[in-house]
Amino acid sequence: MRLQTGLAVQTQGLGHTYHVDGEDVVALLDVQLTVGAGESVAILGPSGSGKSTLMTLLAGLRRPSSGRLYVGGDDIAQMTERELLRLRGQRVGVVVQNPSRNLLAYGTAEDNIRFAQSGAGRYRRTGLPDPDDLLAQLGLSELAGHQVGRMSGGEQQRLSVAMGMANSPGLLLADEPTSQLDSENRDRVVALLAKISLDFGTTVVAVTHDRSVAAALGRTITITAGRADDRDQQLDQYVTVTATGSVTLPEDVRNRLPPGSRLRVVRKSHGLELVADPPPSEADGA
Amino acid sequence: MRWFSLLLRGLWFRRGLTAAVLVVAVVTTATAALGPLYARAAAESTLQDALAAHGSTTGLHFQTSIDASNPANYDQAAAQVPSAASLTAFQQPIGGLYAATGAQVIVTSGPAAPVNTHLLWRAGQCDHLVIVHGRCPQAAGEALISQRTTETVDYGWALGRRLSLSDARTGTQGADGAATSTPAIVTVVGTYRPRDSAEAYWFGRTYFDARLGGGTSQGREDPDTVDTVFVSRAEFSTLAAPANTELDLDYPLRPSAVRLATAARLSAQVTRLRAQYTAQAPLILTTGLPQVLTDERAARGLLQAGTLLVTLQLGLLAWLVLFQVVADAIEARGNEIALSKLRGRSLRATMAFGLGEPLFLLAAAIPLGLGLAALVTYGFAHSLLVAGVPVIVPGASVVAAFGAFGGGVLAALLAAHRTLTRSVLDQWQQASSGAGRSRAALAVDLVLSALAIGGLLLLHGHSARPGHQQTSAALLAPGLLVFAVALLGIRLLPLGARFMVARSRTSPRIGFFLAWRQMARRPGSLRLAALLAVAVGLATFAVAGESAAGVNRTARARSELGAAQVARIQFHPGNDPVAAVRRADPGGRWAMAAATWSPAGGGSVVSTVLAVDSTRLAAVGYQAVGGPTLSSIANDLGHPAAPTVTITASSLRATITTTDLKGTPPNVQFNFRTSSRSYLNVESSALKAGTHTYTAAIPCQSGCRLRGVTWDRSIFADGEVSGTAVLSRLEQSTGAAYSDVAVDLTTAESWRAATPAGQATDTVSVSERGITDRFTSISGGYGGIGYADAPTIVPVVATPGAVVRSPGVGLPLKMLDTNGAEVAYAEVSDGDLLPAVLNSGVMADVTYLRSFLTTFDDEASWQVWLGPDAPPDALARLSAAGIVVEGVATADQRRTVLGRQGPALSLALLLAIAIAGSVLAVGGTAISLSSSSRRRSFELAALRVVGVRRGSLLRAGVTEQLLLLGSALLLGVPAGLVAALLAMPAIPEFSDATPVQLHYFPQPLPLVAFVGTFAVLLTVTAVVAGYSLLRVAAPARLREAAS
Repeated sequence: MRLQTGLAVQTQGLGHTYHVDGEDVVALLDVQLTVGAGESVAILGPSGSGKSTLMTLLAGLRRPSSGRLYVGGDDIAQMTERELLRLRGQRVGVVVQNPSRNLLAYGTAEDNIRFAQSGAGRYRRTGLPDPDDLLAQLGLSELAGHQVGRMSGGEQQRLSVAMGMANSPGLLLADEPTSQLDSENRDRVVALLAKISLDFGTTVVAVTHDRSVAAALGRTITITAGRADDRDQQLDQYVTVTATGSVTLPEDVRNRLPPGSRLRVVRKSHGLELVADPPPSEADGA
Repeated sequence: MRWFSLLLRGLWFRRGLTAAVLVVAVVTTATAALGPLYARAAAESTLQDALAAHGSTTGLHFQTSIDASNPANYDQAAAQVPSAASLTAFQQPIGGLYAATGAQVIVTSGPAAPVNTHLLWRAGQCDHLVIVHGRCPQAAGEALISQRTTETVDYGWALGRRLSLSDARTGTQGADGAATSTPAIVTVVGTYRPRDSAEAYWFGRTYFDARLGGGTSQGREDPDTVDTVFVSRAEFSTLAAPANTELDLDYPLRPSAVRLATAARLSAQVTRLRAQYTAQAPLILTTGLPQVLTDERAARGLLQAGTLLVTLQLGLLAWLVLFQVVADAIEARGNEIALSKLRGRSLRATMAFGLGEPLFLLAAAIPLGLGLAALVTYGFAHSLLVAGVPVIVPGASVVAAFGAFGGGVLAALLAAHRTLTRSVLDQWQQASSGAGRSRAALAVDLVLSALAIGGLLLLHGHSARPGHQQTSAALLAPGLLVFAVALLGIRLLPLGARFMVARSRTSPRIGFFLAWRQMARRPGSLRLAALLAVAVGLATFAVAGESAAGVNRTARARSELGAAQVARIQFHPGNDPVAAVRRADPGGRWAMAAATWSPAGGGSVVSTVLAVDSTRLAAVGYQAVGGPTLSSIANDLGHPAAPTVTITASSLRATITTTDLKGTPPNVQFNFRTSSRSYLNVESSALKAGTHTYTAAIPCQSGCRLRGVTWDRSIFADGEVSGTAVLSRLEQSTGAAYSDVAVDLTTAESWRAATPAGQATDTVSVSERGITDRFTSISGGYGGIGYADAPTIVPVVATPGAVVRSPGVGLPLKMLDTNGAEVAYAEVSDGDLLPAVLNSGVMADVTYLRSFLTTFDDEASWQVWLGPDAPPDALARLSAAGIVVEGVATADQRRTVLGRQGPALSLALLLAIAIAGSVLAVGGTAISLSSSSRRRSFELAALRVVGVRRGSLLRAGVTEQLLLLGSALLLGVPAGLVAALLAMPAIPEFSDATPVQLHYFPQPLPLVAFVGTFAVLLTVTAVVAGYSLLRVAAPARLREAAS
């Protein structure tokens, strides 16, 4: 499976204002975020905090009122509708909350994946995984051949995630991916998102109000009353070198690197890079 | 093909909506295709009707004169006519020889008086005759005579009798060897009666025209004429040369072989042939076919215009329903289309995905719609059109079906535009730019209403113009009217609803408040209600219009025919058809003898005379709608007269007292009409002074009708004769003793002065002594006493223009028969419209006309009118009474034919598809309500959450739908009714003008049935929609709304 490198996301002073009945309602104000390529981030916040608005801005479904929004280095606020379509068809996968909005109920899992892949464009489509392969790589082979309408809610939601990955995007956006699911299905969906981030290097941004989901992802950014600034929330991304030269890695990194893992220290002109040696998956690349 | 499989599964997933869209698309396509298809079939039908109505006129008739004694002449002439193979629309030619050209054949039979007749051979003749006795002639010397000829005792013709044909002579060789000729002799080998003298086989010729001669009483030799004598073709070969004979070669048309596609070619072919044979003597071709086809083509225009206008209106309505349903279908896929955008599919791919299903259904609707249209047309053809009319799908129908597809695609594009161009988020939230669209819709509605009203005014202006004619364009008027009313009415509805909201705000019945409030919010479904109102309005117009037109068709058929059934009859010469009918129906409740007659030139009547038995007219006939009642006509015609006196005796004796006798005494003459002779005048002895009896032998064993007693003298007599004669007794004898004739000699009204011959004056009075006549005659003239069993001046009822009064000519007016006999008449009343003769004719009592006109029986076309109460065996009873029924025309048949005329077929089409359209609109409404219920369900779900009871919400839902659908009914029905009252007078109901007074007020019963049925249908729809709304308005719905 050929996956593109995870796309970084960065916002600068991002804001959005709704006009409702002649009044301006500020949903987002001066949001500053930086999500590294391949990083998995949960955006956590209460209802009405603006997290879904942020998600629709990231997906190019809505234009920001102010600020800049970069996905993979491109300012999507400046994109035309056609470019936004291409962005969603090739580089950004979106999973929305309601399965009926993610899936064609009368199609099979394969039909839905093909449907999603048809947005990738004729040339890029040839390099995309076969639906059965994709399902297998995501551990969803049991869904193959089944009609969506006959699947359970959990199955539909996992297939929705697979749909988001159908075009091998560099960024997967998921809006409340576990809402209306029981704990078992919630865990499976969360595991699937983690797998995508871990195995495929795809940047994952999930909006949720569920702390357990947030805990399962690499980093959590809290959004409150439309405001978020991850510069204040990135302290736990720093590690301290002790006198013996050991460091305590963040929990999500530790999850990816079991005890005994070897890290290669790469000396760069501007600093250092720690690279797993060997990488977690040779085939997928890191 | 994966996409196609996915498309099919999508259609199946939404199978309810799929079926609805498909049905509407099929109906729309069928409506479009039906116009040309129906017009084609209907035009074929009217063509067949036109050809049938003209009978043998449409055939080809080649005629020439040949010497039939040489059989080769016939063959030579027959070889000159076109071959049957080149005239595929015609039957095999019927050859015929008819002797003698321009003259009748005098036939003698032993001692009996000679009679006139014709000799005829016609190919296949015996297949069209009923052989009563004997057989068909097969060889020369054999003859077939009519049954009624044998039953007329005077002639003594019978099976085996040898007839001498004095004007048809056979060639013989004299003793000197020179050629000479003697009358041909034929032997009667059989008797016949015509199967139907009006049958096309006879080509409209009067071969069965037996009639009495004028008699010999006035010194004229005028033999009777008997029906044609049929012989074999070989008979003509035996005649002496030159046997000038009319040769006829008739090609009856096969109407079923004439179709619209071939009619023009056939007309050109026949026109060419006619020109060819006009230039090429001696054969002459006569035919009315090209003219019939030309006239029919002109009449067909009404049908095509009507069908086009009907189809356009209903097609537009169906298209609007289709637009609505397709919009709903695309709206129902909003999430899927949003998903397509979410997945980054291009606009083109999203359009293909969004429109794929409706376009597939629209494409599938092409063959299905064509099939449905063909099926409907077949149904029409089976029930309404001439039997056997082919249902052919013309190219125009295919084009129309594809046009409907194009219209459907346009509808889909228009309906999809909003869905396809909205953002994903708007689509999820089902948001709309309400105010802007509402203003645009209002503008569109106002423009459309203005156009509709403008069109209506234009049509009204046209119809109000003096001398305007009915036009099919008026069929647009109802559509325009109901359209304007529906759009404006529905626009006003929310205003009324706001008033009701204010009133119900404080009501404990929250359901009603919610319903009114929803209406006041100007819901999107109002547009649908407008559409439904248009459909209901059009259907109401169609029902009202067709019911009025149906009554008019009945009125016209009854007025034109005069009775429920009219039987064309024959009767034996000398028999009394009036008496025969009275024998068949002694009670006078269901049968009446009638005759139509065209008076000979010289009289004052310039139109048809309808002679009726006025004593039965009111019971049997139908009043001409717009004319006087039958009772008043009968009352006017039935002038009181003495009863007919029939004397059956061999001798008559009169007792007459004469005084003051001056001049050469005249002879006493008894005047009769015999059963077989027109007039019989029998001389007795000369009048003598004093009281004497005057006796005469009379040939009245079979019965003679008494006409009077006159004082006859030679027309060459000179000088004056005068005196007073009192007729005091009249006796009859059959050979033994005399008995009094049953006639009242003391009633003044029964006697009058006889019609004078020459210069004579009679003053007749009645007293206890008897009938006194003071008479004076000069210059050979004479008068006498006449029996008044008919008025001297016959009362008639005439239409304006039927009688011409020459300036300076005084009353009474007169009608003459071909024998020169005349009847004086006076118009006792007039009527704009009379039964059967309509606006150009005269009605008189048949008995009175027969009293005066000697050849009336022979000249008139006799009928028996049968009333609606006629028993099933009425015709058998007439036959038993001695009447030969040739054919029967019924008012119902005529009504059916009128119902097959172009304008009637247009109205029938309008009725059928307007009702189908209204049902379709209800279906479309139901679909739309179902589609929109999701939006409404959020609100109701919220109301349930805050504690509003389910019953209240159900009442609100049902009331809301009832208000919506009921408003369509309340607007549509009156608009349709008004449209019917306004437009029907301007819409042609027949392909030709009729003087029958037409009425335009609809029949209440069909209207009530339609409105009632529709109200039930709408109520059921409203209730089901209300329940459905409540079912989906579960509180769980709110979670979806929140996402």
